Amino acid sequence: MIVYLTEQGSYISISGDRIIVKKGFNTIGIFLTKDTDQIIIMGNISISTQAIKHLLKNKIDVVFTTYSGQYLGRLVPELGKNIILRRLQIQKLSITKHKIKFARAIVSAKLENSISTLRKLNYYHKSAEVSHILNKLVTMRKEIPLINELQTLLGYEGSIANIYFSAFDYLVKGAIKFEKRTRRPPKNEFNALLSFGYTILLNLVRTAVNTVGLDPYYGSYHSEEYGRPSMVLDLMEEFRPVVIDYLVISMLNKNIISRSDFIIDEENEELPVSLSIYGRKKYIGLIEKRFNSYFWYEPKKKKMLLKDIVRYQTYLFAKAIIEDSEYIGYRF
Amino acid sequence: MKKYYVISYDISDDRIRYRVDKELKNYGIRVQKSVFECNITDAEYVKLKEKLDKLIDMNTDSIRYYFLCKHCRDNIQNVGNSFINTDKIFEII
Repeated sequence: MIVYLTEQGSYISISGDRIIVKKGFNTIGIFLTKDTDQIIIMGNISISTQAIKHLLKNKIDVVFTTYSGQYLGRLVPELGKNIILRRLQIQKLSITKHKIKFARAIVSAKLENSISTLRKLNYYHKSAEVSHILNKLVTMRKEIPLINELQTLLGYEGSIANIYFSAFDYLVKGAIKFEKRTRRPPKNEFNALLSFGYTILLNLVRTAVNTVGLDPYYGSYHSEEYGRPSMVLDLMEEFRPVVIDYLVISMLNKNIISRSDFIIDEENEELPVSLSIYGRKKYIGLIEKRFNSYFWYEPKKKKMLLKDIVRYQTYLFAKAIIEDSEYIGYRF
Repeated sequence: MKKYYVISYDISDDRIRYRVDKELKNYGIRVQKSVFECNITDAEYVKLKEKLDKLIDMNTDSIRYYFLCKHCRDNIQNVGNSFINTDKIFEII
């Protein structure tokens, strides 16, 4: 069970083998240690030393994020003992030949998933503009294997993303429109949803990367930068359209989230648009539901939970590094 | 593989009852004063049973374990101030 704590000012303590969440004198949640896999602490929530020790002892993953979902850090019971894998990762990915191979696999998986996401959404809308955009994307598919430079690939991916995002306005029917991708900070409601969703997805992939024992900071496609988890961002790339983009568009079309779920504060330059407490809970619930739904997974030839697929892909990446084989991204 | 148990007890001594209670709370959810519902694995079941066996007085006290299959569990009915215990994959507070 994954527990999201969003109630500001609450307090986590331990009694016996139970995790108890209190606010003031009221108990607002009791969880059994044996059932809990992960606790995500969002914002100002205190935790006692006793509780920290207990959670570390029982290997429960505790993630600290800001109120808006941005990753701050985590309690790590044991970080990647697999030093051999980490050495191989840094060795292999330092060689341009290997680096570009993995980067190509990631970009082409993202392109495939973008195409199938748009196709699935367009099935209901039948918009001519989207079909046109789809045709453009399909022709780009053939060019990826020919690219041999990372810089070109980066620019190529940028143009794919631009074309892909331009289809969003035709697919959304409600009052909230996509307009333009803005981040840091997101400037409208649609972008706020995308950014918040991506940070939640990042948390999940990060957990997977830590469990497998890869180094989160050294990736292939994203260049290294101080404090940027390139490996996590790499592995997350192929899941962005499948998990978040599809969900955001379909829930806006179903009117599950509307304008009233947002707080708009134009004077606040750091965060002009944010989700309200109620909207945030609704949105997290939907994302979790998507993580816990079954999808066809080709390598295993069976239906698997999406969150297990994310973990398995990470494992495949590690395997490709060790065995020097080809990495194949997840196809939606 | 988790199994679903209903565990009820009848214990006369206050101190023993308190200790049994404390142990059971870590494994499941209290549905009535002396009835617990636990969704536990076989290993956890053995561990719990061992602990409880040591605590109770075999002459006066008793603990009963009922195993419910998935189908039986879906047919649980309750009346009054009570709730049906469901497994959750995630929880948002």
